[in-house]
Amino acid sequence: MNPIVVVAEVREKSAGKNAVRPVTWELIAAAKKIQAMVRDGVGEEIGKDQSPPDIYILVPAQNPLAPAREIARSTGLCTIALAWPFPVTPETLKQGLSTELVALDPGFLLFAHTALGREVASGLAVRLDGIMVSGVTHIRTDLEGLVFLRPVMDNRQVLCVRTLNKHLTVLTLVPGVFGKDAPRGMEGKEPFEPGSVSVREVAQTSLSPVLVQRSKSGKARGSTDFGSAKIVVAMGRGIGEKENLDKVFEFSNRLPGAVVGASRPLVDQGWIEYSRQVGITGATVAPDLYIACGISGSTQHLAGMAGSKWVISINKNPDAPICRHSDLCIQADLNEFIDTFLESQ
Amino acid sequence: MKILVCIKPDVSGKEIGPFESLALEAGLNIKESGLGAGTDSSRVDVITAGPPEWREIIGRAFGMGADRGVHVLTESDPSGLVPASVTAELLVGAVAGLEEKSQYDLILFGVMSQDLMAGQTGPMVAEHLGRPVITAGVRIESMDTRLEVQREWEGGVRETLDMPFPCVVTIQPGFFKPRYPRLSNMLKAKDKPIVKLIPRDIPKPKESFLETVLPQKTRAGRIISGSSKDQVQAFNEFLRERALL
Repeated sequence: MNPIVVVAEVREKSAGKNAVRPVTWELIAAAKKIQAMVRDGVGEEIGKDQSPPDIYILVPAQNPLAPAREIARSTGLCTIALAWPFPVTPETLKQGLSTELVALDPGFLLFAHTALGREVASGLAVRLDGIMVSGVTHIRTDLEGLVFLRPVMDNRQVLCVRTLNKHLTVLTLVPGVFGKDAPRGMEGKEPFEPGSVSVREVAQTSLSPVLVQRSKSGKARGSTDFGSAKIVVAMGRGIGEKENLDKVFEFSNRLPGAVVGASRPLVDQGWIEYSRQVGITGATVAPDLYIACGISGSTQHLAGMAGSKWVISINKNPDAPICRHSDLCIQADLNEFIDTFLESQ
Repeated sequence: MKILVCIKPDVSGKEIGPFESLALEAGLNIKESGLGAGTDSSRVDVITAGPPEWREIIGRAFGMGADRGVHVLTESDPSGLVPASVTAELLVGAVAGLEEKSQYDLILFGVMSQDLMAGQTGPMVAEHLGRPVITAGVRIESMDTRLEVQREWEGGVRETLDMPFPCVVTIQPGFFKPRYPRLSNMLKAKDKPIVKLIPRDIPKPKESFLETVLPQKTRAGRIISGSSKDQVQAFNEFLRERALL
């Protein structure tokens, strides 16, 4: 059975102080889920395989040993540290991984649906003649095998995709949906031994980058403290005019402990500072109450606020995806609602 | 500078997709500001691979200022969604023919389409053509012999890179604002020929799209309609009952 290969993401810091990015644990959790699905014999074709596929974790980084050891220790999985001759870039990751992957011959190859994973996975899928399914939010089985679910139609629908069995399937998995629990060893085998760690040097000659970095900015300026916020009042495209920003701030001011957040389109339009952005490319928040004002609910936004205890959405359109992720959906014109709310105080 | 922008409709089927509009805007910007602006050698072509109805968005691209339109004709797919791998192969086949005389210096895509939302076609085309690719480019500028690309990473981090031509970039929001198609351009464009390409065969995908379903509900989703007074009351009650104030 061809193995399941996970490409870990590591935050590379100076002085070799690298950290495993949290999304890596989610990838491993998903790999174990796929492994269990295959082992339990879903579908006739897959079920013929008695032994479950092995899982290998690839850790590409300039100094991969420490994060690779951490992964092997806390998962019991076979981990391969790929020592890059310089910091990993998407371009060189694609080049350096292909040799390694040809040797491993995976059945499934898992990347995070992040800036890095998105750029690398599709090209590699072409190079390795694999099937690419990106932005996967859910994996399930039916009588014929594995089915991958991913958002389509501006997040209003979910597409179910089946790939050919016995053919490399490359997946990018949306962060925040596959469970963040640090994975444990195979069931029934606990307590488990730490996984083995092997180290491979990726030769500089095997990489031929043509892109040249000119500059890289640090974190975006501005700071919004979501950590201590009990309530987050977030606004999106549905607020309409820029003038309505003030109204949302006024609304938020009447709610003790509330902080204003925003969805990506408002930040892209330059209406509000980056530090207020909630979502995969912004902040992840988990307040007691999340109030989504005029937010339709893209997957990227939902991933940043799914951990909120309670969610209220205020939206004109009851079919907006956010309604399916709200406890209360107030179907209203935002301005009118806020005006009435302010009057009632 | 020869630029090709790959476009596809938005979910309404009538307009150019929002991200593809950004890509076209980015291409037009380079043509207008770069070296050789306004000369015959500087050109922005658009290409789409889809059913006959998609001709309409080529007209809209002319309205924005595209010079030439290419339509890789496929039959209408009742499900509407076509795997990115298929689109990528159709585009690569077309590009090979279009580049017989000279290469495109730059091929642009939206960061993803609004319907399939995969973001795969750009990097796949780049891989097939063996050209460098940057995804999630926010801003691009031509520096004569190279392209300067500002791309986005998580956490609002932006990186500026130099890229040699020929290359592929996918564009996402953050800098460009697509211009509206001008009616005068669109009327003039009525006479502009669209290059129609009929693929010999449509690549067979290795994945199958089974069905589309509604997103799973993760919360109750109790809908509160009625007067805004009633709604505010329901809102206040919700907060009070859960001691959120």
